[in-house]
Amino acid sequence: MTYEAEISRTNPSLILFLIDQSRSMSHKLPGGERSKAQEAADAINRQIGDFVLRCTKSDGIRDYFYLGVIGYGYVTGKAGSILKGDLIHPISELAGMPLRTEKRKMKVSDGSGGDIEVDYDFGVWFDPIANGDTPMCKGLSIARDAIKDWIEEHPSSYPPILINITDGQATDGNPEDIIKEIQGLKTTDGDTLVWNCHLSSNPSTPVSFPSEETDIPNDKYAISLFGVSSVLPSQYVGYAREMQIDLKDNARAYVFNAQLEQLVEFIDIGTRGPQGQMQ
Amino acid sequence: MLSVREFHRPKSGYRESEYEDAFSLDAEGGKFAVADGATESSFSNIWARALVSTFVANPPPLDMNDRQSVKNLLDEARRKWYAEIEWTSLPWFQKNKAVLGSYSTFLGLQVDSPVNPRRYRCITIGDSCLFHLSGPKMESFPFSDYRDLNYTPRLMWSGHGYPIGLSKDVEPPGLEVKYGKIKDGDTLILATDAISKWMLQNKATKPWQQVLENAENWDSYIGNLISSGAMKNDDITAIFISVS
Repeated sequence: MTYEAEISRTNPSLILFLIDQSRSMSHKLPGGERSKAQEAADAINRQIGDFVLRCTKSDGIRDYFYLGVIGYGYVTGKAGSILKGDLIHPISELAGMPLRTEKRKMKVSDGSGGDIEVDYDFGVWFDPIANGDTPMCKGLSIARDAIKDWIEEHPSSYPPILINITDGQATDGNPEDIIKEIQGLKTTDGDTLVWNCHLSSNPSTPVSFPSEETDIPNDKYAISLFGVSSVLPSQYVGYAREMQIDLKDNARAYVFNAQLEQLVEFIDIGTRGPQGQMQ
Repeated sequence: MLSVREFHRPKSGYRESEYEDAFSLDAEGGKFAVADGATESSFSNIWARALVSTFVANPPPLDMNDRQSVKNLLDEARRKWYAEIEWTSLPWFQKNKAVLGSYSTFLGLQVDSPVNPRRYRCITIGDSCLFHLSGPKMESFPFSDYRDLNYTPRLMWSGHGYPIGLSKDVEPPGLEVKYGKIKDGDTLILATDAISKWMLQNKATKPWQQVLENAENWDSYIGNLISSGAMKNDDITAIFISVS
């Protein structure tokens, strides 16, 4: 069986986020109040905070995960880490290095069926940028090299997960070959998983986790990204169904025309597998 | 007389300070408890310890209503748990989690005054188990089939941490209670989930005897069971009580 390795401090797992920072990310994301760049940054920052929370124990933070965020298009033709310092950070290091924390409200259960609102500190590790073109291939190449190095050092870890969030077409070539190369990087527990979230530019119906090419509109770029999105391992199909998402057993890790709800849902499901394997 | 042997160890590869089970016992007073703090929550080791120490230090009268007994335990243990944590000096990410409170299973056993047979009451929330060995018979509570330990257990919640704190009352979760009698020669075992599951799965071969036979090298014996995959790599706690 694959995607079942236990994640521990001696056998941690790698999660990489890849985020489009091209100019068109300044457009408003349907379903949200703010731009695609802002909503995507918020969703990833929230997810990093969630990883920190899950790894926090009474005696501190346990490094079950290593995380990185790669941006592409913050300057035309450029791609690279958008976190301070190294490309990949152990989760304990990330906990100590947010750019800032913001006071936000969260609802917590009151233990008797209701909710209580309480202040909490929302960690911000990077700010949204929407500036240049879409050098996705460059971003993917950086991710590929990092994943290759990671697997050499952690050959039996839970397979790395790469989550790519974009609203456009790569301006520096065809990303298919690099993505296939990344998917071919494997640990003893399975292939690297590549998740592609295609953000919406219009309010038409999103398509989450399609299984056939005919499930998505006849859009060359969408078909290309769909074709190189990983087929969901059965555990993830289960998580999606628990969230009332209707999908087939051979669904792919792809969302076409994602609005805010689908973006958040996509990241939640994409990170749920490794979180469930924490020892 | 109640003779007691207690075994505990953290997960293989973990430090003693990372052990999140807890136990407390008073053999003379016939009071015993084990708890398994939930790894997912913060300070669950402190919560598990607060539950077992409160139960053993201040057990409810045996004739007190079961639910009221647990409610009293919960109220007192919550105060102990809350007082032990330095809430305001926690780093921001720890505060975010600590406000959600801590979770733990609990199993408490009270044995009545020394007459033969002696009465006992066992109260449990979650998947820690009580085994009663009497001659060739073995009874286990609350589970008799190891497959029942595959599910997320019911847990005792501490209530919220700072800044909500103890201001809101917390009701005990659903609990299970067993009343029984023990006679000279019987053995009772309190055990947290991983070793309970292993004993139930192998009950035909009386694994509790193997545990006692390996009492002197218990840590490596359990370590080998874990590394061979026979037992889940988890915190392990067991209290063996022999009646004579």
